[in-house]
Amino acid sequence: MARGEREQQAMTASDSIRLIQELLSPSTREKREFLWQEIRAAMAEITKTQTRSAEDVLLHLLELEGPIRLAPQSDIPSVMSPEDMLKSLAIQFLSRWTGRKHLKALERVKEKTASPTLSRIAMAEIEKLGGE
Amino acid sequence: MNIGDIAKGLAAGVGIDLSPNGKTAYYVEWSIGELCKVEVDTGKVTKVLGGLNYPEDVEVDWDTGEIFVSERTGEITKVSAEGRDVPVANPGGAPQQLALVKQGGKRYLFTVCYDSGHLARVDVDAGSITNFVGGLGHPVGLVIDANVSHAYVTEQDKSSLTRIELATGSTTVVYSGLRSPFFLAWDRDDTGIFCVQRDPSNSLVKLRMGPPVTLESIATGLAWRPSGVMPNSDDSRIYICADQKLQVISFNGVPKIAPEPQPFEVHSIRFNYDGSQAIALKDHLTDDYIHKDPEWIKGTRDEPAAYVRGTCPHIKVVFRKVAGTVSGTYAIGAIGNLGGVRRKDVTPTFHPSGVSDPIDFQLMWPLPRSIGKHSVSLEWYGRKTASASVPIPVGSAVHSICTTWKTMEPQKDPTTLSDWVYKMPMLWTSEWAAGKDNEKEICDAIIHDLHLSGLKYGIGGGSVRAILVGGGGMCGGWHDMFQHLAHCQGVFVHRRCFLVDWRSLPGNEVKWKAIVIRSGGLNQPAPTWPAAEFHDVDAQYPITSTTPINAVTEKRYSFWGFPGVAADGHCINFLEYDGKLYLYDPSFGTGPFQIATFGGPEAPLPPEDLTVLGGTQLTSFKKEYLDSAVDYMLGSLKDDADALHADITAKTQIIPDLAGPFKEITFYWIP
Repeated sequence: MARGEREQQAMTASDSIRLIQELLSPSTREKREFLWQEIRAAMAEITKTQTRSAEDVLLHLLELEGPIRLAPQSDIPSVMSPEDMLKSLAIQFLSRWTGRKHLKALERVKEKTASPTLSRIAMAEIEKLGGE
Repeated sequence: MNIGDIAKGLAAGVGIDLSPNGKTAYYVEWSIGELCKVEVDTGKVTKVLGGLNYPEDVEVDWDTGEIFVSERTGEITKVSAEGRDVPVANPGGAPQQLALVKQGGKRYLFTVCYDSGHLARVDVDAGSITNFVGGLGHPVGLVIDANVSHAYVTEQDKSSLTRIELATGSTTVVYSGLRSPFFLAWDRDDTGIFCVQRDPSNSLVKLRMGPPVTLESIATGLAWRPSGVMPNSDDSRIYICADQKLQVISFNGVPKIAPEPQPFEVHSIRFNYDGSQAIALKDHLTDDYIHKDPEWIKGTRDEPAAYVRGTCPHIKVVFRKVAGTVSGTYAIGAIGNLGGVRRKDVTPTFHPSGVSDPIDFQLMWPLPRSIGKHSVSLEWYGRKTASASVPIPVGSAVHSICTTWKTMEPQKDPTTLSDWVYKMPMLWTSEWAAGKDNEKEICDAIIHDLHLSGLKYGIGGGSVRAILVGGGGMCGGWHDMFQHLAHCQGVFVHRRCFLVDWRSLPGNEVKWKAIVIRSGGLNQPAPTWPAAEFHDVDAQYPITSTTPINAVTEKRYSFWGFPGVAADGHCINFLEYDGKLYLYDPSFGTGPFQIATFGGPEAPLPPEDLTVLGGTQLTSFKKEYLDSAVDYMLGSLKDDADALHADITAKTQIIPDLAGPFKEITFYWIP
């Protein structure tokens, strides 16, 4: 299967939200291995349109604790861990969609994260929003 | 011929004098300013006088018992009957070897002065000074012939034995080709001169005065840095005062020095403590400081220490009582390959647990003034000070000590840098960058030898510790790691990530979705990801309806952007050095790539705030680095017939900076 085809595999919005919710559930996360490709495809679907449920999922992603188990055949994001990459995407979309509405949540991520790159992305978004 | 040790534990021993009966030798220790004597048949040492200023030589008037000492600071002093040093004269110029001559009812001390190049004569009782000749090239050793007509001098600059006629001051090189010649002594019949050489073989030679003057090797393999020489009356034993030992070259058997009972043993050595100059190290497995316990504990622990080069470290040493420990004051120190530990008088008191409080010591010499990883041997000894005693071994160990280039500067990137580093990066960089002396050389050495760490690219690991624990990582961790490695040596490098800028263009064209890399990365023969199918465009850009598109299935890394926001990409490091900008890619072990500045002299580096750069802003970056590091850019491209080709991998090299005003490749930038 070509890279692009893998990326283009259709996922419905509800399938995508379900996948991310599984990933957010500690009990499921312990049992299940994920493919980064499918997580990325789900995120692409969720962030296509701003909806209440998409916003909720992104907010929950900011609270993600603990590692995601990736399958051996999975891609791996390079600049950040999968967990931090998801938070980075969530921060950027929440910032674009809702402005300062979730500023405190963004600031919490920036304060808590051990990833200098995620911290800098959060800072850049917070600065755009006039925070801190 | 045998070489034997008479006394160990000298602190830069230099000059020596031997009693006419051959039983007692006096010697001076340059580093700690002490004059000691040793009974050469028993090895029992007594401190005669301390507080001297870098003593170079000792000369005894055996008729009167007066002892004379030359000091590096210029003075010649006499040890009084009360045991104090009394100035005799100050010829200045760093007087070296002394030669006592009695002539016409007067006593003269001849000496040569290392700094001034003079041969001087001091009237011992009048204190007057006569300079015979100047212009000698860093003279060190000196003997006067029996009828006081000539002096023979070793000149460091000429590596020679030079004869000086005292009546006229005329000088003649009588032998050249010596190797770091030091002090001199006449042989038993005054026809030859013994000369100690601080050459690599640490040797003693004899110059037969001829004519012609010829050289005879007497011994090699003496203790390190031999300085003083003094034979007994029949030349059957020749005593050598070296840096850390007093030795004898014997033609009739080496004295058996009877060992005394061990008074205590070295239990532990702490290099890093509150107020020490040691660099804090952490263990990556436990994430604890190495110095939570002493770095060295006998039989149980042996961890490295690190200092900025040229530091002269203090250490805290704990002693443990042994069966038969006798309380009292001991002169304790250590000899070793880097000079050992400065001796001091200590009265250890032992707790009920059997160990002493930590006692402060200092290494004899500063650590090397270059980057390196050193095996530093310390052979500890203690000698009772109450009476003449033999120095007794109390423990030994070899310590791993790193010397770094500069003090670390964590304030330059407080997000990632601290005032500590992990142990392994310190050990690695101190070895890889050994002898390097500027930021660029150091970073080049690190990137060159990075593969020797055994760590890999292409496996999970997003931080320095995660890479160390897991054996590898991805680029986000690796650019932190390279910064950490350079930080160990006090070198600061910047971190930057260039993230794919997924731009959706009219007609579903996308430039670009991902960067694609074929190389496996550090210590990986091929990408670690499963093979997938790619549609490569290698030769023509922009594509046309006839452009060959090659379907290739192979292992590659693809790092994906995300529509409208920053997501994945690649992380690298930059070094600013000498007005230039160098890029290092630790994930792939490549660099340096010299890059023209991104924003001119005012802003040489890429931005840190997710700003997007592209087009000509990336011209140098693309040409010097990206074209070779990132094989393909993955996007959806339209051909000249407006047909869309989804997910084409276009060779990076063939993509221009601009298509008209359009910036073909753009990236978000962030640390």
